Amino acid sequence: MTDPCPNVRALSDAFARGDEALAAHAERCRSCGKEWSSLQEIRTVARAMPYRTMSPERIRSVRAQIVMATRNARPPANRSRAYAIAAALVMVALGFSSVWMRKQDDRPFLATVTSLSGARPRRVAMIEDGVRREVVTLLSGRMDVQVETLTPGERFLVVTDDAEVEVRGTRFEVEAREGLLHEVRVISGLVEVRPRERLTALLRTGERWIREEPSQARIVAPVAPIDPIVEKPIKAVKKVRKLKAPPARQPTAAERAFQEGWSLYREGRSKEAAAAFDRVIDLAPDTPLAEDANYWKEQALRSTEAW
Amino acid sequence: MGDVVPLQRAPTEASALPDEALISACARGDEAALGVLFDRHREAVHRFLDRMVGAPPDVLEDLLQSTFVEVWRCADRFHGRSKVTTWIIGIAHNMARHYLRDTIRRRAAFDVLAHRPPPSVATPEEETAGHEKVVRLRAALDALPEKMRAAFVLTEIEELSGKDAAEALGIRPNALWRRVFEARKRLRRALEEER
Repeated sequence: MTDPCPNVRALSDAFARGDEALAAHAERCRSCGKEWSSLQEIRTVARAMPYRTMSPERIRSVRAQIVMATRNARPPANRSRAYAIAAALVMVALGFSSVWMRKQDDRPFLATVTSLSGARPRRVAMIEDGVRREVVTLLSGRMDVQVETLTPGERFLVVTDDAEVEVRGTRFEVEAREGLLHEVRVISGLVEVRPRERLTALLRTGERWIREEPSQARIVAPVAPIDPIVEKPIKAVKKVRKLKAPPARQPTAAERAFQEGWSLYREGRSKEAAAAFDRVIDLAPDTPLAEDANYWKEQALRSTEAW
Repeated sequence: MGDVVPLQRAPTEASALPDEALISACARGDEAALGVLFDRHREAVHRFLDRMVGAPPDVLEDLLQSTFVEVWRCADRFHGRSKVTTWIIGIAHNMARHYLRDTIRRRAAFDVLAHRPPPSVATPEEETAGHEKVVRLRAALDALPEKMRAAFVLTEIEELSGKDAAEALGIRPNALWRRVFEARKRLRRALEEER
């Protein structure tokens, strides 16, 4: 007496589970055996697909970047149950819907980054106290960045060796050469460019920030409409708006400490640089400068430690 | 009665700890524990992400990095109801899902394939399986809806048990097997099309 043949779905499930009874049946039954062989073939071919591996150098790099990110994103250790309940009640009271929260928390990146010419940006996204942050490090190449509209507290930064570009819900292109910020072009929105030891520039839609050595960078107003997807040659530039020098102002103690830390860091004196950045945090807590100092302190500490 | 010798726990290297203890250490802020978890699970997570998103290497590394940052952030929410491997793969799947949703749908299929390893060089495994079939199956796998692809990759390629794969994807086993079945049907069609 022969066993009854299972349907295709049952055979497929049995194959996946490694059902020995049905495997034996498939050996005896010609039609089921054909189906079984087909399933086996798909599995064999699928498992033969090659996959990419990382070089030891890239593994070390990613590992180091993870530890840097974790230092900025300490886990909520020893959180008491009462605290969690209280926090949940406050959130309910504030009227946050759980669906909205999940949608917010699940998103790993704040922006869509597209490489335009050889850019290999490094991205670190994190959520701290429910607020998302993303830092993209760019050493060379050009990339297109489209940032979602950010909620209060959320930050998106592009960092090169010598500058930071911070945005609030916008689209722009950024290019770096040998670690230095070379050009920023705003397609829509507002972008703040903060080069080290240079003037901060606020760019509006269509404006560009271009590095000019050895003189100061300039902002170029657009003439031709800019296609955000296809790179087109920029037509003649009608006017060039030079950045005006800011009114003379003495740097604050925190700013002086930051400059000192930065100089020390560039000289490779990382421990002293970290101490200087620490002073900035003490002198001007809860300011963007303190956040910058915190970032560079982490960089300085990272260069002194083997992790 | 002799002297009472206090019990002392021998100092334990993080690398000797089980995954669950490492997650617990991460929740207490132990970076070394995260390092060990990264060393143990990096390869599996990277391979899974590669098969799921097929993105350029730098994007894969970003997703890998974001996965382990999320492991760190959520360590205190791990209650041991599933294996650590399953839990980490679940986080990686979440990362891949969002990446696919936000990016892949805006890219042309050829662009996705452009990031795959060149199909002209066959590995010994490919030679056994038939190089051309591997190329066809890869294209068909890339074309599968994300849910089916994840179910197929976890069960058929990564060899997770049905229970673990369902937990990683946050679905019931029945739903998992249905997705695997549908995925197989489409992949089979792709393999048979050019015979």
